[in-house]
Amino acid sequence: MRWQSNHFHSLLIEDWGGEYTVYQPDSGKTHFLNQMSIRLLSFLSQNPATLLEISHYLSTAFEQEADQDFRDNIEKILYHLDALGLIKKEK
Amino acid sequence: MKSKHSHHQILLQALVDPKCLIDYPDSDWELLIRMARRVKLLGRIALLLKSHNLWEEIPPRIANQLTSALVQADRLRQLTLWELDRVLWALDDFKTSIIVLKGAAYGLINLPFSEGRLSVDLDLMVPQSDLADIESVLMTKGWKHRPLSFYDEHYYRVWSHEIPPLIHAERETEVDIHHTLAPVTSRLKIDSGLLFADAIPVHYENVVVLSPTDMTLHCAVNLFQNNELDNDLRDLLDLHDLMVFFSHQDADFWKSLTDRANQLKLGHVLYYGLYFSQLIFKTPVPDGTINRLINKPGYIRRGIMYRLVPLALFPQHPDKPIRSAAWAKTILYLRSHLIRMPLYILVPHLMYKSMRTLLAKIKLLRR
Amino acid sequence: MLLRNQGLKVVMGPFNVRIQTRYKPLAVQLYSLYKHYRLVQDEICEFHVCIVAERSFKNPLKKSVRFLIDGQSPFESFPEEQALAVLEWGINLAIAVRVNHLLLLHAAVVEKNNHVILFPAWPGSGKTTLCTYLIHRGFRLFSDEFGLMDPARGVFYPMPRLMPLKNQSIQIIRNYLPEAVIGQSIPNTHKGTVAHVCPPENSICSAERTAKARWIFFLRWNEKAETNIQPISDAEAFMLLASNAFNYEVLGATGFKAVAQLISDCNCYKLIYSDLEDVTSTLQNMVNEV
Repeated sequence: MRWQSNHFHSLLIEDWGGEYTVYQPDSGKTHFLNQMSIRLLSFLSQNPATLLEISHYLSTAFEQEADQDFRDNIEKILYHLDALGLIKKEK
Repeated sequence: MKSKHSHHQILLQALVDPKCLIDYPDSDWELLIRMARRVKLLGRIALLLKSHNLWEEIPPRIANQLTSALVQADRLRQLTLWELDRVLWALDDFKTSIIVLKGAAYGLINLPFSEGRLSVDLDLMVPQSDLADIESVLMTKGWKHRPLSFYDEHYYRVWSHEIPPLIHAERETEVDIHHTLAPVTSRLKIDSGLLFADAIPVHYENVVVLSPTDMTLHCAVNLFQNNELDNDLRDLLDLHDLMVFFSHQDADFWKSLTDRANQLKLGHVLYYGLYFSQLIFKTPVPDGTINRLINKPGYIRRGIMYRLVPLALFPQHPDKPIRSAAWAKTILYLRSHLIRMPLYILVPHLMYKSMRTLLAKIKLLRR
Repeated sequence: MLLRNQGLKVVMGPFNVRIQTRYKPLAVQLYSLYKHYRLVQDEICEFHVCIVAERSFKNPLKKSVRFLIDGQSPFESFPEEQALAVLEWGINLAIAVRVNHLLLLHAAVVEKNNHVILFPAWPGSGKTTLCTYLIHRGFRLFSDEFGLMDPARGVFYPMPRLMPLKNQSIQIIRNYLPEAVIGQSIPNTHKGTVAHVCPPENSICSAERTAKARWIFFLRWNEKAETNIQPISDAEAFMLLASNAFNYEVLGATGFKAVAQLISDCNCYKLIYSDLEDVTSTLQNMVNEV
């Protein structure tokens, strides 16, 4: 299963030095996101990707080991972003 | 300058002939805003002024209040559509057909002026056989029933045409899921199968909306059967808007409308709808349309409605309430309930919609 | 007389409020606490409010008062002694519910040397007490409850209203500021005992002068603490401010852009204090250094 971003280009993003406030026009909600979530969203906005591909990309970008723990964490973030409607499953 | 008009005329003229607004003295503007707010038509007045290029002419204090109303209507529309988005997300692989009703549907078909309409809830209709499954899927994904008393729960399950409203724990829009358009106890028996068969797709995911005739009839049913009388003028205006919009799209609309009303045994409901929409908003209903309706209401009932409805539709003067309008509302309220339910169920039933946003703001101010 | 019949049209910052009542004790209080306010005659009023006195069926000897807006009563009645508190609170609620052409932050707001300082409301912040002290020591009152920001121009509108002091604050202010004009104490309201401070005349008279914000202080009153100022991250300040506003979410993208602009224009701090005099001189020095 692959994930894709959901209207990424409609988001208003303010960068406050590594912390981000993000306005989502679809819901009207403002989200408070860290660097990793923002990188994830912008990665998915280019191409849909699987959990493995996403983990690989982010582990390289943030110089971390792509082990099981890391993948579990990414999966949690994905689940959370999906519930917020910031990403969705590819149909 | 002293006003030449009664307070009803001040509101009605603004809705029917917005050009006359530029001649309003400040005192009429002020009264117009107060009454339009009462009947939830501030957004409508704002859009009318913009579409007639009159926005620049209005007093700044009025413009600010109208802007505020449009901002609020925008927000409610955003909330309703987002709730629909989330419901579809939650139902994901569940195969069913979902008809979007009322305000959200008016937005999906781009009904003129729908962007100024205040719609607070998301109303959906699904096949009765899927209702229980849909309810339980939503409840596993964060939606909850507002705490209901045993009595309310019983009312919804046994007598109503919808399940108790669902609200997602993190949001505020109420989702009302119906399986038919009129309560089970009502004397109206509308065959939901016919409605699903004629429903039409819109450019939004895979939901559908009622066909033009059914959407119009549903609006009329709501208007003369429901108990939220404070929205009556707005609902009648919805009916007018729908009829104008659909009859422009399809020359045969009026004939289809009366045929469908007869088929669904809604002749008397549409009769009132046509009569009052014409009377108040000058809807261009072609001659002979009303005569095609079978089972029109009898003379006595008509006589009563003719007297009561106009009184009840218009808001009272905010500084000088008169008793007779309040009475007309009470009687119509009872009437709408009598049609919905037998008296023995009606009497103990008393519910009101809580004003959640109001309460939230009260909480902030109490800190 | 006007108050009794057509009502008094009182200018409250950007709004005109028509107040009407036949309840005499309230009229007496209003004539004294509102005496510096500007009245208008033929202008359009945004809010039409009324306090009516009534006797309940349950207890015919006791009078209660009801708040009406446009002839409708949004909440239950209150004991008659609370008339002024109910009126003031009702007007605030009406503003909070209806106004969306401005961003309504929940904050106390003061100004000096043309710079606005915001003190966002927080339980335990003591914003009204500090605000009362500051405006009797050279700062100008914008509001003790509403940060009214024009999102298009980025400026704040003053709306100097009576300020409800609560419980111990009443005595503290009476001790520190004997010159302050304070209404009678009203016991047993939903906020405890309340007494209303009348803003100084110069704050009321210059209520048309808008200004831009320069500082945001998230206050915490702590009985034993020295005055202590710590910077707070912009993102945190953003979320604190937005999540505590009256209509931030209603304004959508407009609200987001306005708050983003505000945060980048302002220095944001946490401020812990106990001594009103000390914190006031700290703030005065800060303003004078600019």
